[in-house]
Amino acid sequence: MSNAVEVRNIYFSYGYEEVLKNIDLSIQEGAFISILGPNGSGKTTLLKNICKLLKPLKGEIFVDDKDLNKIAFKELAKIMAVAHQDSNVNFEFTVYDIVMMGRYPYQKRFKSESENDVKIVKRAMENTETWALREKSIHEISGGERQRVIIARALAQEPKILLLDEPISQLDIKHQINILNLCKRLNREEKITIITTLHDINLAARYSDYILLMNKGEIKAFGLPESVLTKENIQDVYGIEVKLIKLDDYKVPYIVPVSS
Amino acid sequence: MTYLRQKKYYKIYMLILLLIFIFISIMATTLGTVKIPARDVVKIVLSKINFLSEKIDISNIKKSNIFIVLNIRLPRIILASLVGAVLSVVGTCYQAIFRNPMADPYVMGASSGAAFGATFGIILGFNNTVLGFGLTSLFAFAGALLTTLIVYNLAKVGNKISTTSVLLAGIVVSSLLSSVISIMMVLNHDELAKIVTWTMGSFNGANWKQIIIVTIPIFLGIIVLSSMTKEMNAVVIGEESAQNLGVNIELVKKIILILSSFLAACAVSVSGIIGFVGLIVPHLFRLIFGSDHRILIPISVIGGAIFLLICDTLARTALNGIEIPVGIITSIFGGPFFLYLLRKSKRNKFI
Repeated sequence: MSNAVEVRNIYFSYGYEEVLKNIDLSIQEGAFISILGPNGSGKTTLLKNICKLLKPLKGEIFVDDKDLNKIAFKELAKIMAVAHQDSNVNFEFTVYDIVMMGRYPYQKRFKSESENDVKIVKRAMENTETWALREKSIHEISGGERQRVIIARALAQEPKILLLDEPISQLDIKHQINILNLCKRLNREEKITIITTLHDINLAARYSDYILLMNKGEIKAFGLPESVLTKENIQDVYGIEVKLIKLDDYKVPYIVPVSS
Repeated sequence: MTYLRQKKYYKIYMLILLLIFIFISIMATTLGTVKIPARDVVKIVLSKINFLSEKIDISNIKKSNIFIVLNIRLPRIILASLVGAVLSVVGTCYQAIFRNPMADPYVMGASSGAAFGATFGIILGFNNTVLGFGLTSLFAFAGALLTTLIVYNLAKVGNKISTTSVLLAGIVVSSLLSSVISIMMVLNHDELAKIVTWTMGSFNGANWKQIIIVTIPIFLGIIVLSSMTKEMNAVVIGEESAQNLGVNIELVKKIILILSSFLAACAVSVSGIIGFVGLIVPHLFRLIFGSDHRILIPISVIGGAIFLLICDTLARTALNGIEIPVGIITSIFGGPFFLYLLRKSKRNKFI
């Protein structure tokens, strides 16, 4: 199987401080990857380098076997979609119009939406259970709904790869599960490669095929959840002591912090 | 309402606004110290259209009335409409690009730059005209363009432009220039009245040559801006999201900023500083039609023209024999009207 994303020895810094150091990483097509790590470990920066929002100082990134520097923004948008953390929108748009923006890379100047665009948007919205919200203003819906709308817009791009930046950090447990189930379904049924940053270690362990654990701009470990999320690794990276509890139904242990 | 559903009515809205515009243009031409009947106005205008000229008989209309319509009122009405259209389109674009509802056509310093240039021109006392433009206008144009260029470059870091830096640089450069203008006014007391009058805006000197020259860039500029409405929609949602949707955000920002500043400079150099239009008209139509720029931009063009045309007509007819600077009218009537709409839209969503 070929690689969806290949990161070769990239370095990145904001000003003087190095945020990413020698990141080397291959992500298989069709995988579900979670990026974990404490605040400031470079998770989001790595994600932004992969989606061409930031340019690495050194090193190369390949997406779909093409050099990221040589892919035009429009072409990239057809391969890779990104669901950013919820940003405030001062302007009024309906949910449907927001999702339709996902068709931008396929549309020509001055041309309006084709029947195909309408069909794909409808499918994306049904897939994310947002079709019922289509007439509502983006301001009228809840945080969980908005996250689903953002994923619907990403789906409308018909991407091979979906990047998510902390998609569940502002949601309650029900909506967290809801969003992750959706990602899992898209990953399994639509064969979309999922790369997401997460804070919740246990949810990440349950949903991902692979986990990338980052610390201070470097890769601490990358591999299967049970091999990455060891007591030692977590202690090293987060600086807290944890207990691993074996649960019957899951092959990955449950991680609980030990209170002192 | 979603764009696709609204699109059905969209042509009707445009048509209605266009009809209103034509109606108001005719009414505005009839008004003034000499009242000219609407029928005569229509006849005079139609007689100027090539293939109709033989069929329409204007021999029974007074020569002086024909002169007033063709050489005084029409140029002024057309110029006011053009400037109104430009100011509201530029306002809409800036509000989108800066993602800030407070942005107006002068955020990048076009107004203070123009005022600086004009003040300079007035003090130097040039009375020559070039291609129908007073030298004051040319100085104003140069001032506006130079100032926005300076602001643009101040806000540029490497190859990227931060919109917050543009706003801040715009404010600082503007207030700097305003102080310089004040000094120049203090030192040149005799020209004070002229400078103040210029800054308050007027279409008094409108002529056909001016119109022909400004129409071409304005027309082209508006067409290019109208072709970027999808990008504006994406930018409004967030720059990062827009880029990941495939929008080349830095390029789009540059094109829109440069074109808009150029258009603002064109407008301000022929009319002086007319505030409020570029702030109010976009908001007014946003309250009615929503934020979709595919609708908002074309509607702002006609809406801005209508708004400023009405204001200018009031400016020249409200007080007998005295002309009120149009910039004052736009604020006096526009302000309260806008506040009323704002209150109304807060209580129950407008439309």
